[in-house]
Amino acid sequence: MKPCCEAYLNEQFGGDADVVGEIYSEYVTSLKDKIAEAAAALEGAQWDVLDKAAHTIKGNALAAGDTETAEAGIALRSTAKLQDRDGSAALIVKLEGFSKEL
Amino acid sequence: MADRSGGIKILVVDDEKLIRLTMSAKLKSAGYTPVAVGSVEEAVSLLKEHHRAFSAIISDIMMGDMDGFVFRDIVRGFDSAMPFFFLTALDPEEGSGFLKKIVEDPMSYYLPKSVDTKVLLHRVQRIVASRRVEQFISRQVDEQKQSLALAAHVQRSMLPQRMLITQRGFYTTWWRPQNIVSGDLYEAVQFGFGRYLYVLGDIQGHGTSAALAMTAVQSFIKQLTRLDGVPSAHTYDIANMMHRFFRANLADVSYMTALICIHDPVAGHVCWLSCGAPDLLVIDEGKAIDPNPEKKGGMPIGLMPETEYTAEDEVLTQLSDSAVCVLFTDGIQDLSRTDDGDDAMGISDDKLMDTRVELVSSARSNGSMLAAPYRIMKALAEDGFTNYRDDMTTIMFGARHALDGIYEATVPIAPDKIDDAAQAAGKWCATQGWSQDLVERMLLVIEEKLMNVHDHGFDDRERLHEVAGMRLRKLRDCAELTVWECGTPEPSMEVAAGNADTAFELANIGMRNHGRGRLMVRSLCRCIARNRIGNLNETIYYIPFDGQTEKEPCQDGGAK
Repeated sequence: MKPCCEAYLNEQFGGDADVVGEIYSEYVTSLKDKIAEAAAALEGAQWDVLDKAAHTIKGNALAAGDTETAEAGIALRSTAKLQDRDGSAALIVKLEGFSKEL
Repeated sequence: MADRSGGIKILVVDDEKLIRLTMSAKLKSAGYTPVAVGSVEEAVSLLKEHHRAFSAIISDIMMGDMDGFVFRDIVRGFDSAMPFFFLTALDPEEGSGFLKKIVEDPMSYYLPKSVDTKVLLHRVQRIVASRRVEQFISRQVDEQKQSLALAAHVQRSMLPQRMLITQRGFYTTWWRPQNIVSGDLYEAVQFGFGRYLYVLGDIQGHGTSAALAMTAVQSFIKQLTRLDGVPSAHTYDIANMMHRFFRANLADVSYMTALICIHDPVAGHVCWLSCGAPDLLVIDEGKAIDPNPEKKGGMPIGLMPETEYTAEDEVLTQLSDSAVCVLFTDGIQDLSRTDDGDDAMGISDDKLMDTRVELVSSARSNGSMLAAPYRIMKALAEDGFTNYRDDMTTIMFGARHALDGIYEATVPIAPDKIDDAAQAAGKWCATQGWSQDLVERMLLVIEEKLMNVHDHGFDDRERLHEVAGMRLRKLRDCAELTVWECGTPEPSMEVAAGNADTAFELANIGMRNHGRGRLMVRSLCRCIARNRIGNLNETIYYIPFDGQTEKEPCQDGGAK
């Protein structure tokens, strides 16, 4: 488990391993799904869909205590709004990297 | 923490499973019962059935199927006080817009998506506790209102029927609690041969305690009037019996003013006694008469232990056939235009007297006395006097005053009585030389209208005591039937303004699945006018002599 998530979730849920495990597992799954969704949206230049995916990534990351992923999600929303293809692609690569660390 | 929150349901609405999981886990840790759904559609469906089961909603703002604020608008349609916690990460671009929308609603709050569990629970707990206190108070108030409404029904059922026309006389009444239940009481009962006893009482104060005393005294008067020998009693005998009852049972609670009248229409007089109540008012030939220049009368009932009412306190007033006696409790003198306690806005004695004299005189001359007390209150309301600061009751009575070409009657709302009343009206029409065809059409309208009041105007309990008044007369080219009743205002209230004919058409459309009677009545009438006079419905049917019902516009609120 990513250390920052482990620390945050344990603090939030009083060290309840079952709850922490369930939430973390859901976070990992949802992050992978949303990154894939974001990549597909970028491919199709669907900027609204990309924005929504980035919004979800940010929200989920905050809920799991994964601040660096949340920051990348916020940045991805900005590039999506600016319809910045290169900037968005770079951020998706960055997010994929974070995802692999989970 | 868990102990205090046990069983309290919180609805979590978010299209992201992770957020539902984290919020639910946080709420569960404090003992709440979270119910998490993934869409607004699911949430609305759940809330429409069970919104009272939830103490708060935690909702995302940007969701796939619907904006969280639109969701809130839907919920506000059926629950104006449900606390809403909006979850948002507050991006710099959207943040201020979201916050503005959140605070537009006084029961909405902001929660950051990454909210710390302790902060979340602290906020939720504070708001939910407040909501639950409000819910508790609201339930208590609702229960109290229901209980008072039932008490009001009991009170109403103890009163005699609202209006009555007998062979020799008539009476009509107006009774209005200041707030659901009343400390005012009245009784109207036949009292020996051809005489009527009227008692109007006003328990000191108003509200629940006065209402309880009212029911006790009303019961006592009912029993009293059934005792052997009482119908030959004088007003002061009755006052003494009421006084002894009051002293024995209610002296520690209150006292009451009362006006006791024994009306003898055959002899043409009324014997009356005021026990601290406003004097009887007599209106005749467009003038008010002071029937008590010597200012006779006694103390309020139950106030002083040693009170003994005697013949010296009684007043005998001779009445002409056209005279109308008016009894009223003093609540009407507290009627005012505003609620700010400004005495200048209170009704003046002159204003009250002028309105009474004008409307009673007019009603006496056109055969609409049954509606007179309602018309007076409506006229005062139209003049701005709508602030009721006390219970109010009015009784008007007098001799039967036959008017040429006008038939007046009261009809209990019961199928056999309605039939009898229609037959009696038919006989009168025949004596007036009305054609058989016109009489038959008139009878159809009478029966249809009164059966409609019977079927739709009251619930089963109310109907037992209810009565309608009616007046028949011939106008230049049609017959006019007026019916007064206090049934449910629907659909009369809906059509209280605008063109009555069009409104009636609309009412017919609305009622098309409720029988064919209305359409039949309409086919028999040239036009139909409706008025709402306080809680009295007035319906006027214009029935052409020749059966031709070519429609003419007919305005509400006035005779054609």
